[in-house]
Amino acid sequence: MNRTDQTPEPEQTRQTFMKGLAAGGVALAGAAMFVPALKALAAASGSARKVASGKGEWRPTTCQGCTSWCAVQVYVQDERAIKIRGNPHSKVNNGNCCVRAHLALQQVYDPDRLRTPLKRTNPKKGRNEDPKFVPISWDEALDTIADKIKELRDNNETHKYMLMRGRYTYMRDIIYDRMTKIIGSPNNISHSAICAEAEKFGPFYTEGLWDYRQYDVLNTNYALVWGADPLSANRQVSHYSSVWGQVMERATIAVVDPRLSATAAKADEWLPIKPGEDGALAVAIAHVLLTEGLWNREFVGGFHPQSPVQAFEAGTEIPLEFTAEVDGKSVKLPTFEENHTHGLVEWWNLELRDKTAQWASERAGLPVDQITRVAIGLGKAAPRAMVWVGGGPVMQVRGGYSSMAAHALNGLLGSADNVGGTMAANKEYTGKFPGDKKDKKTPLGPFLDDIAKAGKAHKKIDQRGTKEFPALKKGHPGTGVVTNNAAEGILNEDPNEIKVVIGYFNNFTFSCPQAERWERAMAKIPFTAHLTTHASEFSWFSDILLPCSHHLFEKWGYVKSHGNGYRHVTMNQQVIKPVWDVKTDETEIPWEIATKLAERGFTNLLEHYKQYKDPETGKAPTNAGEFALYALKHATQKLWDPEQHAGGDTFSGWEDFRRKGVWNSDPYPFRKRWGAFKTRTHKFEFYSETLKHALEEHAEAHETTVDGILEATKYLARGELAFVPHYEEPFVWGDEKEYPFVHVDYKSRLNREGRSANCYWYNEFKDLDPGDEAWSDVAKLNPVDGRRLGIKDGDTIKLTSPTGSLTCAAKLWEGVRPGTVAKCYGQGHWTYGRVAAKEFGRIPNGGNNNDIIPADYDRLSGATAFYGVVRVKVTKV
Amino acid sequence: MVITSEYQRATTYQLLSDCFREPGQGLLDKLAGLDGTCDSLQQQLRDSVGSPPDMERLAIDHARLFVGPFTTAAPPYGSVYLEAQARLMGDSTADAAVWYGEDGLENTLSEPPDHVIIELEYMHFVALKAAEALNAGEAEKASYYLGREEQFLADHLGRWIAAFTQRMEEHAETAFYCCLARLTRQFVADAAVFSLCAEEVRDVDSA
Repeated sequence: MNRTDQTPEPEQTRQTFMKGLAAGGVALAGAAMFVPALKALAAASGSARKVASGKGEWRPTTCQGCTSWCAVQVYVQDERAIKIRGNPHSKVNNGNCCVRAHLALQQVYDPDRLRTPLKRTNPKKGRNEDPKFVPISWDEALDTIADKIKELRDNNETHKYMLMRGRYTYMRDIIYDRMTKIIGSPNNISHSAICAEAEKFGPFYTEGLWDYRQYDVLNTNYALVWGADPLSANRQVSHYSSVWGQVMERATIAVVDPRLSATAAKADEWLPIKPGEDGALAVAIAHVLLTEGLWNREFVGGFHPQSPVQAFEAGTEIPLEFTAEVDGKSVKLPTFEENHTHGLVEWWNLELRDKTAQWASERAGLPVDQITRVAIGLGKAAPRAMVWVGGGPVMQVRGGYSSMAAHALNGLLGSADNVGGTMAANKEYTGKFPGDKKDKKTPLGPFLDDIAKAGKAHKKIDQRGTKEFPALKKGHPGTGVVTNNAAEGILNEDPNEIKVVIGYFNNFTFSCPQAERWERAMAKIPFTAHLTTHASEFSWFSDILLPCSHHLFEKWGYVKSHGNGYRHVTMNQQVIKPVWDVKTDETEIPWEIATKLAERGFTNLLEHYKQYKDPETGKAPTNAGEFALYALKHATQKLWDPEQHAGGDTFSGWEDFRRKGVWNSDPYPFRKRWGAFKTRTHKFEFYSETLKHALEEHAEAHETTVDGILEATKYLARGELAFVPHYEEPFVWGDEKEYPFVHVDYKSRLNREGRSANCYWYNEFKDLDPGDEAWSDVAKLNPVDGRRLGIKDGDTIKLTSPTGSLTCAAKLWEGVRPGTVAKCYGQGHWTYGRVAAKEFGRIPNGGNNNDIIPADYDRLSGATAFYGVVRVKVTKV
Repeated sequence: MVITSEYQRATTYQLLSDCFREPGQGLLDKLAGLDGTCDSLQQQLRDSVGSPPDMERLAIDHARLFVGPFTTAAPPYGSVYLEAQARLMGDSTADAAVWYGEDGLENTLSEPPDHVIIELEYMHFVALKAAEALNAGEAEKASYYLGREEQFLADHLGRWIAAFTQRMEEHAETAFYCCLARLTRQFVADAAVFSLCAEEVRDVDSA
């Protein structure tokens, strides 16, 4: 304690004190003077006297640090969240929880967290313009937003309203769909395309599955993990991490990745492929499987016993039919009788026949014998041999066909929907909210007035469905979002300008490639409200900030996930009383806005929300909190209500479900989709009639041919090749001479999507990722390259691409393919808190990969290209 | 007199607590209303506000220092300074809540209980209770509250106020918050010096 060397004033000595007391009281009169002026503190209510009981309990909720969406539990003691663990009731993650879950504790109790609504006082927007936010009340914030929306309505400009969605729960339609429609705009833009949409492209156009897969690793004998890192990121990390030891004991594991990932480090084979050449490797493996006769007979079929051709020979075309004598007549019979597949021989003829391992070796930069060995290993293990297609090979400019080619191998191996192979998600029974397309009882129609109908009819801002952006989601042209292209639409006011934006749980100004375009787009938009837990780059350009509840501790909602042969539906629950005056983005804030709009004479939104009744009591919601809870109960009713039970776990009622926190599906019905794939032929298509149909539809809509579409979408194939998985030369920005290194992006075991950088533990334990360093953001070069450039560990270097640059630290490491530079995504925030930024508002810690990655796409799926897309040069700073 | 100075201490704690809240007309009026009998600290505060006060500048400075967004230059929470890795809602936070509970109080501000506003208000409470007890000649009660005053400084506010106010002073862009930082630090340091221990009070009573 600071002791001053001031001597006490005379009055303060003990003598005078004694004298004063002996004199019996002083001239301070009036009891009123002694009434404490308490504003923050108040007399404790009865129960509050029990402070520090020392008792705690585990409360169920959900972690959305990545898309594993694990069911977890939080240990809460005296209203404080202390610890996190997996929820043992989940059959998907089985009480396991990965390391990144714990970082959430540093997020919810982060001193840089948004605590109050704020408004911008500096009207200028730009990287160098301090917004000068000041706190305002919730009332003022909501009034402002409602006024802006009302203004659009009054001027018939509702199509200039835009909802940007980043991360979400399945309460999302309340704000993303219903609110946008009722206001009257077509512009609800999700983040999906900066997610791994291209991963879904291959599975859809082969087996009719536009979704992520789960993998029966515990029953497999060979796993080819392609540009995925199950121990670190993306799919049910908690489950796969917990069983991977067992998998390694029984199965051969091969990993395709230009860098040595955590999974690769433990694999039997590491295939350090040249970025962008995944298609070459995939078609070569297919070629080897066929020429070696290792395709799975049960699933694929075999040569007709009478066919003169009985084998696939390199280089040799195979006739589709042959003539035979049957009962004295000449008949045409198929050379190859397919069981559950379609178009194998066409595929061979069009693409596979000359795609030998030798041919692929030259392109992929992998040894011939390794390619052959892996292919044969897969074939011999079939059907318990899987190809796990991650984001790496597919989120590239020409990644659509690589996605098909890699996933098609599961068709050849007979592991699609089979034991030891790749699976879809089990059936679950959550319901939709009122106003759903199929809802006859409470349709949305009555809430869409003429203004809304007119507004909704405008074209969307992200250019989807234009000739250049087919975005062929589930076979329907123009339905997949092209998130990153929305910036273009905004900047060019094409099809129209955007005037009012609500963005939630997002940060496109950091998370989208060529992020500076979003800075320019945001600076142009006259009014943006950012709904978030932490202010970030997107907030820097916003007008109103609304502090939101943290999804893991303070929010009601639900998400679904699959793994281990199950699907679970797990609820986000409010397990602590929020410390600050936060509200939930997807439910409470829309309700409050609806209330404000109703006060201004526009009642449709509020009246629609009042339809979300409590399934237990039939009561309509009367406030935001009730709305959030009733909506959740409504959507999950078939899971917890014994009278509506449709499958999976049973509960005695809502409270039973809430206490356990998670519902599990029935076990996986292997092979149920055999013969019933959602493709046009209902078979696993090697020649994709489904893709053919979609491309032709899109071509016709734009008065061109399929070839014309392929040209517009930057693909090289022409003719029939468009309908089969095939090799496409990679499209990589940057001339090889000027930009000698291909950039390899990847995700950390500690990334909570892009949100971990302000957590101390993220930085402290960053070396958990192979080759990375604690408290640093390193770009890794192979020592051969590093030495040639005269770069040492720790040097500050600049990575420059044709579209931007970033500065970070250098590391020489053998786990990186020569000719590439590997750097993790997640750091480089220039405004995100004291830990994330080196000098807040100016200098980030590390560099944002999106500053060097150009805004390009696989236009067939609409996915943003993150991998195999850009070359950089490396210079010392 | 001791009682007067204890009372003065209590009112100063309350004034300081108010000064850390969002600056508004209420605060300016309060500062302006401080008459000539207020001590030099209160005079300095009043004078540093500026004439006329620039409300917007004050609001922006307050937000940058204590509220955010993005980051706060001087996070106003005990645990940030008392515990590792600048965390909130740590064990020290929980302990502050225990203190309030023991005196029949609970925090109703939407902030962690170790926010400087709340800790200062708690000091106001115990100091005022002590002054009241002294005035009424209730030695045991006075001893209790004087003890609370001293101990809370030793366990909580006194342990982090210097680091916190130093950060404030470094980053404040207005004279008011610069002055508030300096005066708060000085005041709390002096208060610790002038704390009377309970023993002394009991001795006095039996004398």
